[in-house]
Amino acid sequence: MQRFAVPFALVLALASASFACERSDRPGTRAPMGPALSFETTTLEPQLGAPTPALAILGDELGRNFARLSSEAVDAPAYFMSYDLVGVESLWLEANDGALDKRHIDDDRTIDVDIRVGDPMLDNGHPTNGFYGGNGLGSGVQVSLADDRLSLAQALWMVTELQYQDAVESWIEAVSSESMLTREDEPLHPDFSLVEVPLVHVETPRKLELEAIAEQWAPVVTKLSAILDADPVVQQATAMLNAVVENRSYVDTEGAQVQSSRIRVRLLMLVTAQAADGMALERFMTFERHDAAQLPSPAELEAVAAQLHAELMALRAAPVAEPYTGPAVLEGPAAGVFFHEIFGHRLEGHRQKDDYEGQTFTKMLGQPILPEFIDVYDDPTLATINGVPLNGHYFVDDEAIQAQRASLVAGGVLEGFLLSRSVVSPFTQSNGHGRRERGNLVVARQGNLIVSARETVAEGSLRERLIAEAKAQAKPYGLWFSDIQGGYTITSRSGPQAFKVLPLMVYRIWTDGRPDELVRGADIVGTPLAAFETIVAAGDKPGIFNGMCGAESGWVPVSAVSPSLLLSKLEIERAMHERSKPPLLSPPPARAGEAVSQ
Amino acid sequence: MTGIGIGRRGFVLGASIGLGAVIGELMPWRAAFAGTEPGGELAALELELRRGVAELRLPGAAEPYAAELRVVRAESVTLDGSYGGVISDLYAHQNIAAVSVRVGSLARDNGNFFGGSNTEPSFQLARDPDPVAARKRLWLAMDRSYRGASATYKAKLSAIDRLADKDLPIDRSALPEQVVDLDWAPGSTVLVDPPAASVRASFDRANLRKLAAELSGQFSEHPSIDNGDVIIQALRTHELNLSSEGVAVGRIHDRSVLGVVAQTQARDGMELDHGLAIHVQRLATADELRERGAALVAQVLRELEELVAAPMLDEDYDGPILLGPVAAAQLLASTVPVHAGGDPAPLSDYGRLLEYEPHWQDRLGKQVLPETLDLIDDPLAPGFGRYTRDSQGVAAQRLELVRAGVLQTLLMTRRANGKIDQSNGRARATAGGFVGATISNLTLSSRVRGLSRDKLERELLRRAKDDGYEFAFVIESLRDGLVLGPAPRDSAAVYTSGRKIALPLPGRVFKLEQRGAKLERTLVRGALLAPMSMRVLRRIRLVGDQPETLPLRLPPGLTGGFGSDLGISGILGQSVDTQVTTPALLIDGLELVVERVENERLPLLDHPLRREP
Repeated sequence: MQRFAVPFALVLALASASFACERSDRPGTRAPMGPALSFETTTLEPQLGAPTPALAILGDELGRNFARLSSEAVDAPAYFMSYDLVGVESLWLEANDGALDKRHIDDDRTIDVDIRVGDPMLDNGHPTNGFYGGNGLGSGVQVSLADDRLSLAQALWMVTELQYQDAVESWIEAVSSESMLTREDEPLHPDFSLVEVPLVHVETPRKLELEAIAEQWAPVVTKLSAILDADPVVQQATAMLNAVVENRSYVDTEGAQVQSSRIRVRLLMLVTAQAADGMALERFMTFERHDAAQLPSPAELEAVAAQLHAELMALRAAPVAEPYTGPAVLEGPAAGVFFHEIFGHRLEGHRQKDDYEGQTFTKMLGQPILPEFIDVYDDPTLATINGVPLNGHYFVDDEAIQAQRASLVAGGVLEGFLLSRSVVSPFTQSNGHGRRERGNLVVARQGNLIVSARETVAEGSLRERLIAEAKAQAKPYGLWFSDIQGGYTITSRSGPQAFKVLPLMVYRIWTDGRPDELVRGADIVGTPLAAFETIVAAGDKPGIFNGMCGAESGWVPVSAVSPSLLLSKLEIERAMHERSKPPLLSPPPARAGEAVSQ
Repeated sequence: MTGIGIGRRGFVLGASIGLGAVIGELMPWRAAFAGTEPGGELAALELELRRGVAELRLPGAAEPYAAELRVVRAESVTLDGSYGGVISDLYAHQNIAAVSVRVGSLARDNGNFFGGSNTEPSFQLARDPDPVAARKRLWLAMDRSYRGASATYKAKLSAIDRLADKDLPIDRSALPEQVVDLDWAPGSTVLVDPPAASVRASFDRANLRKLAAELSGQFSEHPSIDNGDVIIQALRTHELNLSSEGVAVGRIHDRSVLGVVAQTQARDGMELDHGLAIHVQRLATADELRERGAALVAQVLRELEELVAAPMLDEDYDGPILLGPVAAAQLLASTVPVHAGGDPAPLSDYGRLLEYEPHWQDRLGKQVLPETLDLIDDPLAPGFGRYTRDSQGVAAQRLELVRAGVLQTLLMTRRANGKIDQSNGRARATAGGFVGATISNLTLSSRVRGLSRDKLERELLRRAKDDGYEFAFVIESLRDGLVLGPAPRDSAAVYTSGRKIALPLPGRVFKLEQRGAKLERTLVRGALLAPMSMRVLRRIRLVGDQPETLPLRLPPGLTGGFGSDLGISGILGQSVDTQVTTPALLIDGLELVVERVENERLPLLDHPLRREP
């Protein structure tokens, strides 16, 4: 089972609508809709500059060490190597309960050494029973913070030696394993693809004034956490700001040289409490930006904090949801997360080759897998959509391949996969989605996953369409999901190809005119093929989710963009419900000015 | 080469513990106990602690009778130099507390039970003291602790019910006196937050960073060494132990360490490492460490190079062994702090876990050393292990652990055993929050005059000859796992069973032979010390005439001692300061065995310092 947490989803306010609805009678038939989804995008030009000494040191050491490991002097010659040096400077501000807890500024630098032994068709990167790592790809060892030649050379020597041993061991195991397997009914997928024209991409290294950011934002996060804490029943009230600048130097034995730089700023708010029946409840929100200046103003953030607090209090009073199957609307960002979890991960290239994976879509190229009005693509070249920065933007992936748009589904038909240099037949080249958090091996990952619709309905009409759909199915209510925490999907073949998504804000939309009703304690469950078949309408506004995604290659920044979606059938079940009594004693005296819940 | 380096590089990440600024505010201690509204953070915490004990209740569950809170505000820097570069330069500032609610009574409570729920949850405190935030977090943590304590207490009673022999010692001795003893307010009888001036540490960070780079640059002159680091850590902690029973002990500790670790392979492929450290009890500056640090790096590299060139031990040896003063101190530190401990075997669902009972607990009043030897532990004496009051608030006292070879007492905390039911002030708490019994300033002395080194070595050979050996062995030092962490070879792991104690690997072992009138020493490698019984200490046959004192940082409690593989990352946060003073010891009953090892091949790649020009 793979768990893909996209932990911090955006929240959109519940849309209220008064448009007439044209219902669909059953999955597969739907009413006519309006124009295609449209939005404005921007891209950025990299700030190119001069190479740092690190690139030259890496190049020298790579040449020397590869000459030896690729020579006849070793029993199992390497055919490819790369060195990936990543320096990170970061600020971590965290306030809880209205008090500043952390103000840390750190820097460190690590090296990832990748070595490939064998040949591109079968090497040490060969899929081995769902296990990723320990095969000579990725290492993440701390190295000198400055470009000290001897210190870096000694570390590279040491790590290269160790990685080569692991690579040889994994390659021998892969060759042995393959000799005992049948492959007649399977296409041959190469383990690696060579690049004829290596990329040279040298950006100017960037810096962040972390002390200045800390000075500016420490009082802000402290105040935000105090607002979140505005009731003694709140158990955790966290506001956190994390600013990171990452400078990377990459060289490989094909001649690629990449010097890239990236800044990420994340502001997170989290507030938790317990319902009277013991259920743990939380609300959170994150803002992911390319610069602290892009964050909302303190006043806007304070309003969001107050909203989160109010929503948490409303959740405490909300009834527990009952198991249900029926129509539902996934609001834009929630729909994006839904697609990211349930769909995007299943189109990652390495999953099409590992026999332990479910390979839901592997043999469906050219076949319809989504409603015909839906397109899906992943485009890390996009920096913003409708002015909102996208977290999954990058210029070059972690295998020195230029970022590029990958068309995944066009008109509902599967067109491709997310590809790293470990490609999937019939494709022969990466489409620039090889990504990793340092210390891990590279696999294909999502960047900016964009769900688009060739036909849409006005966002405001979705509510009425939902009610109509519920009435048609003789359901007393439909469900409206405005925020999703994340979820997990079983991609391993040993288990059912099912998913579970963890909603945060769910409303019953009653067909009899009763006011919308917030409920708690519901999880969305289902199987991907069945779930996507039931999409019957898309809204006309893109919802944008920015967050971090964790999988085999570690945590990488991602975005998921989607219009709100109306599904004719979605199933929810009871979520985990802890029954621990709330705290036995009344809360101690609150900070002056805090309200007290009854 | 394999298995080295990568693990080493990860070590600094976990090393940070920090310290916050505190604005002092006075709070009368008695008034605090009487329930006056709190002003400072400590007073607020005490109020909540007392409220929790008084009011936390669950239907059908035992009531709390006490609660203990430990607060650590810590600030640290960690620097790691390697081959002239700085790999790590971390500053950390951490403010952590942990609370433990005790239910039942002193005679029988939820303590000393394996397998129960978490009864000591930890929580973060604000960077600067914040009475409101602190009290809220303690409120939630005490709630969790009480639930855990209640569940553990029931499980423990159930386990006792199944025992045939229910004659168990009381769980906890009474507190001898109420006490307020705060380093930041000497003589005060009131609860006081530390003044801001004492909280902020002033680290010589920039210069220490340069020093780490500079000292590690010395490795460039030693091409036979594969890898190594110079690590400097400095830590200031404000540690408070607060009990609802009436204890408030606050301590300020400044500690620094400069460690040198190095690894390489011998020509036959054997992986070897060596490491030494300088320990000081202040926030060291670069200037004061430079000269000693340079000498230490040179010593580690020289000694490792000697080890690389040394022959393997060629056969097992069970004759007499001479431990130099350093090795003797390390042997005592590997055995006495743990096995003179007073904690009884913990209970579990399966009864008492007797394998965790210190070995000297059944030797009270009996011979444990030769009758010519005494063993004193004196925390009040000047030394690296000095303190005046332990972490449970009990006054420190000099202990005659062994008089004329006979065991007189044990290292007691407030946890009683079947023979002693009072603390003698040996509860030592680490900055990381672990509390256990251990030594302070331990001294082994002889009632008879010791021998000079030359006489000891000649006597060693004479006794070895009686055992049929034409040679004998001298151990000058044991491998320092407190600095190096686990040994780099699987074959070096020593497993024990029954009442045998695994000892650290010997560091520098010399084969001693007589060549004419001269004694010749040959360094050997690949020697292991076979697990020993504590009875071996009764076979100390002779002692030297030159005692030496070794400052040590030991983890307290059952898993403590010099045999613990902390690695330098854990030293400052997971240990307490101690020292051992002893002369050289000539001892029978220790056994040196040949390490059976499958070596890895030598590196394929040329080390940067071993490349052709």
